[in-house]
Amino acid sequence: MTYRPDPTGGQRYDPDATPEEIYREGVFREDLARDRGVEAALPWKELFVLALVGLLAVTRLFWIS
Amino acid sequence: MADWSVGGSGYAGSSVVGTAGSVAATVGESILIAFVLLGTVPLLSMTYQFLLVGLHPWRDHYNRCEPFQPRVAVLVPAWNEAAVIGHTIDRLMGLHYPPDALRVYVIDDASTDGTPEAVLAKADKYPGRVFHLRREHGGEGKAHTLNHGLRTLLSDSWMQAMLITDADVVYAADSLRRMTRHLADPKVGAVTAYITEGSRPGNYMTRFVGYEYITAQAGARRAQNVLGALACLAGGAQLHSRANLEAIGGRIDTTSLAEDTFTTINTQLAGRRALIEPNAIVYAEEPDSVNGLWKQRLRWGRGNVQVTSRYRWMWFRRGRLTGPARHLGGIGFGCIWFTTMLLPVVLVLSSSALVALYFTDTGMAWRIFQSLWIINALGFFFTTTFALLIDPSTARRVWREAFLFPGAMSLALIVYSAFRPVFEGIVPGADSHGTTKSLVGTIALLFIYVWPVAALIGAWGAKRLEETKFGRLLVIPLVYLVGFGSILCAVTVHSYIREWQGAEMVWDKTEKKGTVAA
Repeated sequence: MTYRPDPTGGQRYDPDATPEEIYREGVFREDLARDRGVEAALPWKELFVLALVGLLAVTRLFWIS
Repeated sequence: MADWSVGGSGYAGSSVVGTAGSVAATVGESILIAFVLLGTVPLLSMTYQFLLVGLHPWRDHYNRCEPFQPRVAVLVPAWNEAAVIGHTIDRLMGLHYPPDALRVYVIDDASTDGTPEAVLAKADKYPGRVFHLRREHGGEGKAHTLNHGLRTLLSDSWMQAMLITDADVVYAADSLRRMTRHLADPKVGAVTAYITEGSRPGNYMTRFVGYEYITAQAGARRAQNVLGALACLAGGAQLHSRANLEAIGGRIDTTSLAEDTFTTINTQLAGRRALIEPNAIVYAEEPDSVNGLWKQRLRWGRGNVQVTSRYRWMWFRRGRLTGPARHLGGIGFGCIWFTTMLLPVVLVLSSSALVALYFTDTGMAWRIFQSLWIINALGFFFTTTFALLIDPSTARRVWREAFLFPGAMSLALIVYSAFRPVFEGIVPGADSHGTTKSLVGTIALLFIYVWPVAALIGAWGAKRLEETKFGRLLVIPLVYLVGFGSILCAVTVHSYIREWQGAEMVWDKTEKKGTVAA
């Protein structure tokens, strides 16, 4: 790995990393960034608001009729 | 004309106290109402799970991932898989994973077709990376086959992680490395992937399964990541660390039809987490007929009944468990599990109570009926839309089946209840208060009230109809009418009956045709 955990809980650069390790870590970081983006993009907040609006709408339809 | 309304004067101003005149009647009616509203539990449970999905970005496991690529042995149990095994091996060899850290072991369960030749041809093509392990006496089931391979692989030190898969399953090229990165955390024992239906061109049934898998895998299992307890590592995509395999005894449970669920729960009970990597995509061929689906799900259903019984000391008893396993005993996880297991009971109770309420207080029955379906309408709208947005590429193919998942009749009831004023007078003879002036109207109303149970019978009828001469064509409109969900629920009933009868545990293998195109 190009970065190693250090005793303080952070990470330090590893100058002995092989080209293969550097490549693997690059791919890993790309995957992680993409996947975190997918998870963050789930539109649950919008849908939850829509569901609440729908609840109000149909409740009103139901009770006033 | 005779007035066929019974038990109550209608809508406004009616009260049980007024009509029955007793506290006992009020209590009785309240119980009936509670039973009717049990019918909202399935969709409320689904809504709960999809709300949990929204928390996944904060509760996923990505913070503990590392670029970890252990030596992985892929275990492929195979019985007469000549049609698909060669392609599957080629795809596994094409995974974006260090070649010297990936081997494929096909456990040939005494195949009688060209499976051995197909595997040996691939062993020649990929020397030192593809291996053929044959059982001369097969037919004992997948767990026995896996254990044959497991014994071999645990006997030497090469394997650091094991991927258990099926012969028809095709992995996206980047899926394995997405799964292994979680094993960098020693607290994780097993990782599964998002299995999606991959048959092309497919048909109506595979599209239903395609939508079901969005909800059950991409949706519900993300929710289980949030809860910290996984119900099942998909049988076709289970990545285990070696330490986990050794911790669960180095073998797969052979006493059940749900070996993957037992392995999942045993993993967590042994002190390690099991989780899903929802961005590792795996394509599987699923049944394309009612009877194919029924056979597969009956096996799963019986397995789940066995799991429920075997771990009965665990449910809702968080305090008895330690480590990751304590989440298995949580209320949230227990509710999700038992909503599925008890769904047929819930539907029967709800419909029966509604009919009883109709004969007690017609107006109240009508109002509770509408409340039930309005709540269902909201849950349905929320979960269906959310599910389709989770996996847009599959959604483009299966959106019709998504909306018809509960069946055309239930969909009509949802729309009718949500927008009743627009449809006033459509139910024959029924006025806006659920009272009827004719026998036909009364029968129609009662039929609507018991529809969820009638749909289960319809699902059983679909299975029988498909077995007739032109059944495969005639069954399609019936499935759309009663809904895919009703078929699954009817299979659950059947699985209880088979377990109660003590039926022999036969591993009915699902026929594969090699239609996965990924």
